[in-house]
Amino acid sequence: MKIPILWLKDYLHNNVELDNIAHKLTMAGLESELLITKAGTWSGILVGEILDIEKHPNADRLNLVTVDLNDEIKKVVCGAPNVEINQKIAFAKVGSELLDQESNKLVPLQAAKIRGVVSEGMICSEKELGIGEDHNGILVLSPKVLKGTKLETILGQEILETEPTPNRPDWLSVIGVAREIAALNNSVIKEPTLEYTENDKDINTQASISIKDKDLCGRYTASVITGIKIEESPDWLKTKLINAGQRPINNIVDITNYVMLEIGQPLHAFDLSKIKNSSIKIRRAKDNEVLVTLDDEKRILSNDMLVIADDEKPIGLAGIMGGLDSGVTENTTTILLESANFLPANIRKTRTELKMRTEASHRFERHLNPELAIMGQKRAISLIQEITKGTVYKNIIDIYPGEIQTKSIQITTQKVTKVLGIQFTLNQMKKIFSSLGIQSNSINKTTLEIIPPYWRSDINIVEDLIEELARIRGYEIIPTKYISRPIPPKIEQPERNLSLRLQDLLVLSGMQEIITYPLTSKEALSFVDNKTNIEPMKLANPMSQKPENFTYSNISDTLGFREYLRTNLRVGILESIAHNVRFGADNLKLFEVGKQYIPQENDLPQEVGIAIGGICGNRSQLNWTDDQNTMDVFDAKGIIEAIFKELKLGTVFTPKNDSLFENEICSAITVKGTEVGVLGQVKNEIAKSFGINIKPVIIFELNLQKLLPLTINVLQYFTKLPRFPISYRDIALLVDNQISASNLIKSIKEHKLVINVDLFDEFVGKSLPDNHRSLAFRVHFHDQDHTLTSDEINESVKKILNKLHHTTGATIRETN
Amino acid sequence: MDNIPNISNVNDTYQNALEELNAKQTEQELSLWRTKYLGRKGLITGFLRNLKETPLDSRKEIGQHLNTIKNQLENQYDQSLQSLGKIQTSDSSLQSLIDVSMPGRPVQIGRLHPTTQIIREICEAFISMGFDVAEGPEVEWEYYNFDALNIPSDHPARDMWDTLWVESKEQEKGKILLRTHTSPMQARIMESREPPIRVVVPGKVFRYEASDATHEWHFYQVEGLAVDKGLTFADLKGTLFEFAKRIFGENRKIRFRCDYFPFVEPGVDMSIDCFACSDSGTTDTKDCSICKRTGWIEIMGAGMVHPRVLEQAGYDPEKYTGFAFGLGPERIAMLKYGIDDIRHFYSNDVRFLNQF
Repeated sequence: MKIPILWLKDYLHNNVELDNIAHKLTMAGLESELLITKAGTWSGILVGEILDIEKHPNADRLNLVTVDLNDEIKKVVCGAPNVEINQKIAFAKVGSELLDQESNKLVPLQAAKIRGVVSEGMICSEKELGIGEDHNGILVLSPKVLKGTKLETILGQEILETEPTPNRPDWLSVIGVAREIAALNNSVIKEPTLEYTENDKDINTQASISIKDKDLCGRYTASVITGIKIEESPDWLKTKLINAGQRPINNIVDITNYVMLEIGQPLHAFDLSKIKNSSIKIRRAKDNEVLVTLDDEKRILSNDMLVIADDEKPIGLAGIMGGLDSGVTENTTTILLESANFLPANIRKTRTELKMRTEASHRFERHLNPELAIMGQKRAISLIQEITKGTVYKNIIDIYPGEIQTKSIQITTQKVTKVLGIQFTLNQMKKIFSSLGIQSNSINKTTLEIIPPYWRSDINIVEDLIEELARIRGYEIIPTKYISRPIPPKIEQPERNLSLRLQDLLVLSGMQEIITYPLTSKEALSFVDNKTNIEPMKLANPMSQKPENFTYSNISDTLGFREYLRTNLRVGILESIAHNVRFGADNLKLFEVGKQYIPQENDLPQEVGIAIGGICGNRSQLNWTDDQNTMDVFDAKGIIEAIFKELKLGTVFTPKNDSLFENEICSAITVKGTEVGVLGQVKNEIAKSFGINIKPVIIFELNLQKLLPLTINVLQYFTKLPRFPISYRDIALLVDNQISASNLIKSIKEHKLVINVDLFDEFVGKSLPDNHRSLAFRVHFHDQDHTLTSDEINESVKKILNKLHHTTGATIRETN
Repeated sequence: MDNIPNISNVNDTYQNALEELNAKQTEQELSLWRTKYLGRKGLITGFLRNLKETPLDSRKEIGQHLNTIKNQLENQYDQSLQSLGKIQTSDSSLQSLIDVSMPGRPVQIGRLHPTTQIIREICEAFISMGFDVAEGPEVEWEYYNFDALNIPSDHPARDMWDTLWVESKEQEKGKILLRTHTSPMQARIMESREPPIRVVVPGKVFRYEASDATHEWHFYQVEGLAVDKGLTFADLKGTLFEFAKRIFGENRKIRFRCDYFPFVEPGVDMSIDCFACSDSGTTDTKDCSICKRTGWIEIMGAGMVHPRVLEQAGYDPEKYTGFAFGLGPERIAMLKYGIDDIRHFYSNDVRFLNQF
């Protein structure tokens, strides 16, 4: 909210310090910034008078305007619809600085030729001057200001820009902020006058009001004022509104806006002559009832919305916006002034459904007290009478079904200490409350009873009062202590521990962690994983929505539409690989540990932890020591094996089919009979569709949910170090291609003296029989009782070879 | 006889040898020195040869002393040679082929994502103060995200969190959404445990928000909650002060200002004094872009747990008090490392990631 400092001063006593006020308010909870006088930036902007307006010779919508600056005459091109002869306007000469709409920075005005005519400056809008949002027309100044005057001498003051928190509707008013400043200075505010005179004729002869739906309208007050002439507001009023960021319209509308900004109560003025039978009903709208609101929008209403209606039709949307037809016009002479209170939840619901947000709805949905309605009513009558000299009918109609008994709150010094950890005396407390305008009565030596004032709907419990004490004295008075209580018992988090362990092991394997978005396109999810028919969960309000007739050639075209919760992490890692390859990466080892979301009927999705890795490109960056080998599926397998060795778990790899991977190059990863993951080489066409032009791309995937139970209770035992020397023999076997290396190793290890087997060579070539390959193993022998003799080892080798020959047909490969 | 060793002449010779050695400048001079003392006819060698002439009772002692001295002189000689750059290796022909200026064999180091790193650092700071670490669902019920935290559905405070909703039917706990903060875990933890509680919750959160340099629709938070008998606002201040020192350095000051979050009362916005301009003395606060010329950097929201939130969880607010806090790890990483755009974090560009 924009609050002119000059306006604030209306309610503050002279001794109140305004130095550093933005900082003080910010510390007390109202984030504020003092906008340095706009005037300082208005060098070269003068008041001009419009002498003449002619059509632009080359453009229908533009005018050629002659402006008198007292000692010089300028001609400018102007497109504003509201320019009129004799207006006083703000004129920027060439070279003066104006706020640029795009960059929000001050930019010097350049001389310009517009459609062939030279423009010697510019007539400014509010927005260009940085004092308002209005850019639809030029700012029209009071006719009384002298042409040639520097603008900064009549407009542009210190403005406090505030960001009120949603709990403080009172901060949406100048008086509320003034109260705050007074409290911080241990002062009180000067209340504005609510006085006016009434004539003898009772208002009930002029209008009738009834509330049909009392659950949605807590209070409705109305007054009728006649003999009004609708005209421009006086300068003091217009200046205040402009500086607060509002555009002056006419005296009545300006006064309702002024009172809303001043005390926080929204008001609305109806033209009484437009209200059928002068009768107002506050009722729920009928379904599909129509109201054209002040902004000229046709609103289709429904039965849960509250309207202000006459005997025929709705004339206003309660608490949000008045109707176009019943509003004040230049011909209005008698008004019905509404100041009411509506159910905040309903206002919020209606304005959300209608996608509207007005100054009025903003305030009502933040819980205004119904007491404020009568204050606003009286304040506005007082101003209307002062400014328009109108006649006020006797009495105010005041229907008040929602009167609430304000509950008192007791606060004790002990409670304050219990929450804040610091002592307040009863007197200190009383003093702070009274500076905030909060009445307090001592019940006993340590207890105060407090009745929250009507403007503080946020104070409901004792903790709210404790915050008032702390913030007004300043949070810096709170001491810094350390928790003196014992440390609570530790709660084990096995799932998190496993995630952390895997992250660490993958990093140790030389991999880079990534974090990808959990939302992606449905097409991409099924493109990389079609084994299940899981329908991913869809967002109700995605930020980017796929057009209905969207077609694509590559899956990467769909990735911008993040409408679905991922059911796998494959899309994310392929997307990341593609991104990095595009920027020239040629050796990538990426991993992510994250959640996939598996939908469940009428419940939150199951969030399954997944560790996924993706590698492609060269084994290391280009260097002089190695040849540049391309990574393949065995690089990934090596990582998986290392990880499981560290987890003290044995793994079995068996061929598997998975739609992401090439048929022959895919393996399930099994631990203790449970399949915990998969690894393989991504199908070429899939990688390409993501935009990855390096091959092969290898992916591995581990399911933490399946892995977790297998890692629990894995005990680590010490294995005795070998006491006698270890001996080895190398054997090269010629085997059929059907025989897997892992089976051979397993079989060799079954011999009781074998402690380890390394496969150190594979040879395939024309010199071998068809469908055969040669595998070379180094077999390590050891016995805990004695040093093995050569004969013992040779005997063992013989036995092993015999067994292998019988079970697999393997023979010793003769080498020459 | 001069060259029959005793403790005194051996020591004198040793001293002379060292002094002379220090004065030698060239390889040739060194070589001559070596001949004089350690050569076949050298002084030390001579002593050793004449050892048998020494009295029996001191022979062993002198012998050991001589050997020590001989070793030391040889070492000194090697070092002097080395400092001349002329150490001999056993295979001088190979030596010329090793160009140690060539890059070493590359070792690929893996790294954690900067967000993970900073989250771990943050958690460590709190673990050392007796906090546990827990995690919770990223896809959440409306109830835990809002209602249980004193944010009913008609409350304008809901506008503080622009929400991404999941298509779902209204259930007992409302609709399904992507959690907009890690605070729902406050409610979940209190629902499932009895006090005392001290826990931090790191995790993903989501907002319906257009991305720019300082906003992302997907980011992380670390939530903290402590509930116990006798916890006060002063304990909150102490805990967060200690945290700030551990993450940003021992000299940090903290500042509490009043702020509003519906699930705490009183509420706090915590700042630290700007490490860029208050420490260095080189950057002037009025030119400092890190703290935007204020001298203070906002880093987290906090407060005393609202009694209604305690009640909702079935705790007696008369018996227990608590505090809660929440912070954004990306923001802290951005401050620490001077990262200018939050969108770098989840674009997963290795040129960004491998800087951390």
